[in-house]
Amino acid sequence: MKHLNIMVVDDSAITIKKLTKIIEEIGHSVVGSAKTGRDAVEKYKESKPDIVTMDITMPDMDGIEATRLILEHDSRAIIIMITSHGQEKMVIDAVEAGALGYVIKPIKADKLKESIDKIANKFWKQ
Amino acid sequence: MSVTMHEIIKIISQRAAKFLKDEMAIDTESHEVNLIPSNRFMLNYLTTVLTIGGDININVIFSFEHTLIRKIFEIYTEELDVLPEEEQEYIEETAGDMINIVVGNSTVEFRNREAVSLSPPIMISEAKSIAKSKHSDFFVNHLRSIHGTLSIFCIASKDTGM
Repeated sequence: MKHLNIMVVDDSAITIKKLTKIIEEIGHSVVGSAKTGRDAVEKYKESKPDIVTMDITMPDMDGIEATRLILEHDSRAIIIMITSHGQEKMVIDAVEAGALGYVIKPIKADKLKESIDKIANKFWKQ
Repeated sequence: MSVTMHEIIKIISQRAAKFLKDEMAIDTESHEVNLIPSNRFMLNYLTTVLTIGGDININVIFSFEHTLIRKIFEIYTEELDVLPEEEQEYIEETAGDMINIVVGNSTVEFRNREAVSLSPPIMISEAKSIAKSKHSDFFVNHLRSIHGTLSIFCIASKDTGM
């Protein structure tokens, strides 16, 4: 499995720490983090991660809008939504914005690994 | 038929109890939803407020007793390194994460509704009393555990007909 550089976007510092721990435990690296959608767009340009994990509900700019802006900048960006919001309409909005995965909080290591593995197998299969 | 305020607070309360049991191994005693009868009500040590927008327009409040939020924080961050100077901020973030997860997960059960949006949670520190507006309905439920009580309030304008 390819070693992936991942950027974590969430307005909760605890969630960023939890995601970082899980991502490192499953053998990948966190190369950047952001607590707002606007910051995520800027940090994406700097750190050029393989994958972004994106919260939806954030101050300043939400994760759906940030996803759209990142994909405008880089149409090959790979974004996984990690959110508590379980409504079907929200999942559809995220997919329409260009997200390739959707993981519901509370975060479970196995669910996140499954989502990352699925994407890694699709884009970086060796 | 639309979801009612009574149903919303019931769904949120059940989800909160499940979150505390599944994620924190904290049992809560059975809960019952009531309208707040008095003109004023007291908040606990730490309170977090989140607005559900869209078709449903209500404010949801989680108000934690000190001992309970302290216990939740300890369990929620047990595998993380938290510096002493970060502790208060992280206790507040724990409360914010919990209301966000519980209410976000609850939206799956809001039947016959278009999409709803959730605001980021805001914090109110220290116990305070809140005056009840005559233009709003206030529902409350108390989840009691051996570590303390979580009071859940839902507030909606009477104009929304909920």
